[in-house]
Amino acid sequence: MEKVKCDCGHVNPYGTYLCESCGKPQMEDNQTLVDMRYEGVARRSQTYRKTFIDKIWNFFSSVKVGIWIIVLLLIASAIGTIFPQEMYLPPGERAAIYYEQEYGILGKLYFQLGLHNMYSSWWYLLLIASLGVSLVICSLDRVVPLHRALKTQRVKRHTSFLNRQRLFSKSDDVIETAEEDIQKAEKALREKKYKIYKEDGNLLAEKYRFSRWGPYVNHVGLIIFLVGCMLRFFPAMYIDENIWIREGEEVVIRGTDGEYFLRNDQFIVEYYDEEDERFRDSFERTGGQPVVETYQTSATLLKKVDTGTVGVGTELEEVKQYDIRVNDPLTFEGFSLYQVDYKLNELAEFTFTIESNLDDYNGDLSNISFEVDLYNPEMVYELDGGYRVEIFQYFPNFYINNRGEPDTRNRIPDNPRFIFEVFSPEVDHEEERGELSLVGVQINEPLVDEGEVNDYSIRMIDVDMNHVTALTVRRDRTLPILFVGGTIFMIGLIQGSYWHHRRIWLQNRKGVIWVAGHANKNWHGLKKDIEFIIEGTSIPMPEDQTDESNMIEEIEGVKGNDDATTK
Amino acid sequence: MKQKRLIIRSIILVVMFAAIGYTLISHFTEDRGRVDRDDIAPNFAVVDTEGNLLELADLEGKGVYVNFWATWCSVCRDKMEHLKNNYDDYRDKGVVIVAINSGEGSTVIQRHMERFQYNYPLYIDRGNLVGNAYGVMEIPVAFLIDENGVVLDREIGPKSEEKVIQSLERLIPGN
Amino acid sequence: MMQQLSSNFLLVAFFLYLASTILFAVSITGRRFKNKEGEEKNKSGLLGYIASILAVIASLLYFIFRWIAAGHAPVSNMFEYTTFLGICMAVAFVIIYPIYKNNYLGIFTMPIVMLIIAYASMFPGELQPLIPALQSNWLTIHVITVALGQGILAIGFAGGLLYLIRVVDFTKTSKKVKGVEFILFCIFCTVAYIMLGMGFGAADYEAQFNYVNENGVEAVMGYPMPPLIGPNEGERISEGFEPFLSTPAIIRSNDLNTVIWSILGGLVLYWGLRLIIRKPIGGLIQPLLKSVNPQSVDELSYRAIAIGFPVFTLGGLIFAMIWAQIAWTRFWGWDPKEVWALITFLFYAAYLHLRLSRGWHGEKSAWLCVIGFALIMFNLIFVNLVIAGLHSYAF
Repeated sequence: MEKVKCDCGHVNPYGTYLCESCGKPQMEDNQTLVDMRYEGVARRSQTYRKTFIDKIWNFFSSVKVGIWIIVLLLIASAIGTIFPQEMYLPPGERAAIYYEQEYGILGKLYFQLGLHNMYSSWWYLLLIASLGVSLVICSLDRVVPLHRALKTQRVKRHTSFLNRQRLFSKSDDVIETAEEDIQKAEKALREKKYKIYKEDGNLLAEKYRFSRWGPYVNHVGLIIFLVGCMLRFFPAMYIDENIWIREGEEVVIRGTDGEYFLRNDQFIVEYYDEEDERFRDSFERTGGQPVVETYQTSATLLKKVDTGTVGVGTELEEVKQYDIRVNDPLTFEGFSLYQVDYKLNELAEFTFTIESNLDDYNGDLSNISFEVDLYNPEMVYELDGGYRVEIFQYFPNFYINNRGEPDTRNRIPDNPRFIFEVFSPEVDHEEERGELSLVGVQINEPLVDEGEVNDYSIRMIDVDMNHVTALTVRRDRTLPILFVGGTIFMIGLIQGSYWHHRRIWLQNRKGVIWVAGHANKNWHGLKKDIEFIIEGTSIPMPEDQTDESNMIEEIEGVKGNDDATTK
Repeated sequence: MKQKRLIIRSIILVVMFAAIGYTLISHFTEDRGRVDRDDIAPNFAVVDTEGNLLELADLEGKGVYVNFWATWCSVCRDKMEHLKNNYDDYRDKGVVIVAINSGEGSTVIQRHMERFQYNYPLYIDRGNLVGNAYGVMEIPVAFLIDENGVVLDREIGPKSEEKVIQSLERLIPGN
Repeated sequence: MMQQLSSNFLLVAFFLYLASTILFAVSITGRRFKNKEGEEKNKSGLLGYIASILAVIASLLYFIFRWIAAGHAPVSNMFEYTTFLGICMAVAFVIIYPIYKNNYLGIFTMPIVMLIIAYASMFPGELQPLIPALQSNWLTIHVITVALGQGILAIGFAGGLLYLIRVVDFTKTSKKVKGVEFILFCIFCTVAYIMLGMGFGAADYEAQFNYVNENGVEAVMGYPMPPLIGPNEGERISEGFEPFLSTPAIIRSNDLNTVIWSILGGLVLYWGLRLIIRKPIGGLIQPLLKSVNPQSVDELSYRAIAIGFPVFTLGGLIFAMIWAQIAWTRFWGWDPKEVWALITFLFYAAYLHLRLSRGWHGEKSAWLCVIGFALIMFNLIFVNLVIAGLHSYAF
């Protein structure tokens, strides 16, 4: 690995293509133009390939590998959208059955290959990770030498650097007024906001060099963004919970370590006015189905008064009231509560009365009634006239379990059933048993031996219902990191896309003027700049040397550039 | 010079691969609970169906088996039976079984108690306060708290009687 | 009132785009008639540009009045969004034209703008109320920026297509010729779809079927065009012939039927024209483009993509994430629409990196511009209408 000494005296690192100082090509190639990528500096990766570490490094340092990773990621992402991902299946559907049932053999294959959960599969995450590694290494490998090359570039360049630029020309003869012409051009260049460097009557004009850093800035932004995404995998950084709250209920906000509570004061659904002139056509076309305008939970946020012990004796204080809507979450202490779902008219309270089945009954039971809270029923209801009803069993969501016993699926009163025990005034409830009956929605069975009847039955006379709201609790501590990453990324992207590094070399070689220009993008703009500065001088307009080759192709009937080799 | 470059490259690669590896591993392994092994068990206070107050801090010196359950959870029921069978033995050995119901009303719990004739108290946790503080996401789940108030283990899901006995053995003070 | 006004402006804009197309066409073909005075005397290029500016102004008036009429930004359904995408492409043209002063770009861009706007008009165009999830300023910002980004990227497509027709050798059959012809065929299909849609729409055509849908429930399906293929276990209610085939329940047969009609229409138009001219359509256009400098068109389309890419990224990913964080509780959820925005981003990112390598300028790059635009259209049409996602109710 020897350093290469250029004719101009500058010592270049091994692998240098264009001398860092004078620009003279150090390697012979058959191209007509010099390759100006990365200023022709020695990229380390191209030169050291000895150890295992170097091999890995070189692999990730290749733009070609980077592009391959992007392409693979692109294809994989597309495959993931062929069928819905598992998280978007209709609620209650099981992936193992659903895919085959809906999409047949292809669906089965999709499921078996694990594509139903592709975006969190190890190989997809590894692809993203390798993109990150590629970003880091590619950038590091290029930005350092590029920075050095742009810093050490000299004004006077080697002739073979100049005449192999894409934009180049020189005057045919010695020009008497060469010096004045260059001075004139310099004035024009200053007008165009170029930075001028001079050396022995030669001139280098440069502007928008900062745009060369754009790609690296945006890569840094992307890396920060990816690091932010990585942190989301750690539980402390990211909370995602759901809570269901009935109107009037207070529940702990999950994820807040039992610190915060929320009360649902009211839940409303508002519809668009069907008379609204603006949307009349739309309502007509869709058959007059009401369109929801607002989902809103009026909520009160409460905070636990800290006593060191949880459970009995915990006190809450109100913090604030807020109307949570879709697109308008309640935020506090880094948490956000989002309106995500609701359930209208959930059973909340039943009102019962007692009826007598005795033919000769002459009392009056019509004033007797009692209310049962379906979420927290009392054990005993002492009623007027000495009647007493005990709840013998309560099943909020009744079903018969696989042992054949009555049971409840959960504590949500979707199908509430009570076994009541009724004691008439004559019965001593401590000594004797009362009459049992099973009561639910449209169900009323006496639990007695066959042929017998109860003296009293319990009848439901009123139902009270509640709306329930579902909120998502979210805390994402990575958001600031993602935001910073995204912002830096955008800055870099704009910096690199909306400005372009332009350089113009003007050299007075014994009265012969040499002009060359280079832009990393937007040659059109550079040409216009050059046209402007040579006006009124005898400096020749540089020719676009690639145009020429196009002409040749046209004449010979050879088309396109596709036979040019990809490096 | 070359040596230095190799070292820098190695460091960068190792840091990146370690970070990625760690993230992936933590992504594909089960999350640690809010309260988990080796944590100091947060103090709580609960009342049973008779209204007797229990505070965890008062149980210092004893092993505590805190079991979260609900009446509607059928797999919890087996575990509750196992506990019933061993409650008396282990009480004498200094192990307390604290069965905390997840957020149901007292009537339901009381009736459940009468139906299944548990010989140990059932504690009420209205609003799931204790459950949330302990990060209970699914039931049944048991927290094994030793005599010094340190969590020995968190056991998720149904357990056979043998497993339950093993856990209770671990909780005997001095073991 | 306002709505009527806004529709009128859109109509005016459409005819101005047409005028602009014609003027640009004259600027290219009319040159030899004005040769005596020299090329600069041919003002129709400039007039074409002025027409396009006026068209953009009229389009923006459409946009503003519709916004006032609806009370929200008119980018919330397929008609509104697609129309706006067309407008954005015109806006991008108005911005980029002065840099390169390339009349050929005008003659390629303006018809595409017209086609997009005409395509948009195939969707129901009445004002629709906004559901809660869409009531967000961030959504407005997100959608407008995305459309603008896609509009600029579409200029890259116009440039790419121009490049390809300019350089591909149409005298021999090759994959390239077939490729270019396929692009043109797709454009013909779109034209056919619009013509058929307007024709049958004007005739108030509808065929109705009783059928069994994917959930095994009986339902009614309407066909806007005569049913060549019928729905699952379909029974025709209205008068008319029986379809030749019937589809499984999982496929929306009326949409597929429309697609088939469009392809048939495209075939008729394409082969009709080919039979008349007896060579590839690209070969018909190519002589007109003789004076186009491929190098400069290549640079133009690269430039358009370099300008459009940051705008698209800002709108399609960054603003989209901000909105998603507020409306859907998470900034990213692997919803198909999101994924396809990411794919578009990755594709153009790959393009920009490939431009760094040797051998990817010129023709290959032009093909990539075409594919990029195909991705955008795929995202707009296929992902919205076929792959259901969170966005499917809207745009």
